[in-house]
Amino acid sequence: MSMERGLHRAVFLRSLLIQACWSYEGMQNLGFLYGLDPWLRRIYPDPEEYRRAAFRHLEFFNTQPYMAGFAFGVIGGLEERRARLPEEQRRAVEDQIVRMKKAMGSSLAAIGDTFFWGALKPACAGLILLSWLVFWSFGVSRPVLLGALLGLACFNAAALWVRWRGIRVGYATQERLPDEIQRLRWHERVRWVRRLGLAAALVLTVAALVVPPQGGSPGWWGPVLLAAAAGARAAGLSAVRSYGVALALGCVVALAGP
Amino acid sequence: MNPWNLFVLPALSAWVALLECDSVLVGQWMVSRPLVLGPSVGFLCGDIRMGLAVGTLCELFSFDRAPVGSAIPFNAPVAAGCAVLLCAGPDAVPIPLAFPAGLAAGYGHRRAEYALRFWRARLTRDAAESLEARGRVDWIRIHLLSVGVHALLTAAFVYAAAGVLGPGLSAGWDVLPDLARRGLQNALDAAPFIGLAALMHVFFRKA
Repeated sequence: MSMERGLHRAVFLRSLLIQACWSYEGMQNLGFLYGLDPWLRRIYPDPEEYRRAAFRHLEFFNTQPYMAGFAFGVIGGLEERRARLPEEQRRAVEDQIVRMKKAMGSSLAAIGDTFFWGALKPACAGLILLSWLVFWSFGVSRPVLLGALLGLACFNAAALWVRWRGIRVGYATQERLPDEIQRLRWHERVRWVRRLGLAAALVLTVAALVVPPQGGSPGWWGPVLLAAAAGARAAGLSAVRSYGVALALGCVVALAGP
Repeated sequence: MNPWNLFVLPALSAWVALLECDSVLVGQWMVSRPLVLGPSVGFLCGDIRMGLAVGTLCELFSFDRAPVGSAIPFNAPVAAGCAVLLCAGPDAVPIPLAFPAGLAAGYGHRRAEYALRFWRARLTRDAAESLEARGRVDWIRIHLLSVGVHALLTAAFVYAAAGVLGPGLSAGWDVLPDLARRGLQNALDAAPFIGLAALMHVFFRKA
């Protein structure tokens, strides 16, 4: 199955607003309908048919925004299939659409959250910080701008590609989407991105220990602070709470100090 | 009112609000991240290094909780924007006080976001009524309303946080006991290590 380029572009551009009307009641329901709208209008030239289809997609929907392309492709394809069927067989496909949206929403979100929020975003933040460090060390001009652009380019190359490609993959595979997703080996990619991110974070940490961010010469307190912070985080204390503890301890140190 | 409060701060608050829309509502291109927003606001205020330092700390502190499902983590772009504006404003709040104040603003914005997410449910009802009555949804109106109200609220929040808190915090810093000031400075010195530990922890979490 192939998809018309203009329609693909329209759904892709509209998918950038999938969270624009996010609410607790329907979550991404309006965003999903907005993305699918040009497709529905093409499938259902009859206004009444279009209206009924649009109402079907006002139901609750939520997934990871970058992974929504897969859902658009699958559901658009199913709507096309429904429109080709005789009236008495359409109900079954409508039920299938509801089931698929529910199942895809949570499973795509699980993959997307792990990859984009849990691996790529922090890794790109590490890359930006590392690039600033390198650019400054080598006297590159406009290090802040270049580093930020590098990190944004890395993140968006992956995010936009998944958004764009997901629509076509979803449309082409439909019910076979889980197999296709499996074939993309997300877990392996997550592992690699995390390794790269961890390497960047370790270099930054060593740099912070050798050249303290607050200035002055490195001291014994750097590794102690880092070990304490890492221990607190491993014990489940958030960074903001750790900061609160640091504030209290900071006052104690100030009290004990000269 | 001085020119900062009348012209500069509203414009910078609008800039923060505009970039902040990227974090959830529009695009998610990551231009709202404190690593980008902090230096950009710092640059506009004429102190890119300060923006960079504050933005970096806010970014590292934001990895505690991912924006998964209906969770609202503390708003890192608002935290970075407020902290930079507090430092760069005419009251020049010192970073050891501006940074925790920025974090508090980031947490404060969560309440506004929470209320907005409930309010947006009416947009679904508007869309349903529009579909029923006219057979189409007025997408431009719905998006302008949703994104516009969010951006306006965020801009007003940042303006209030930087414009109202600034003079108070600056005056408070002057009368703060030396012990508290040194405590705040010590906490700020520890912040990069706390942030780096948070960053490393993300990569050790189970996939």
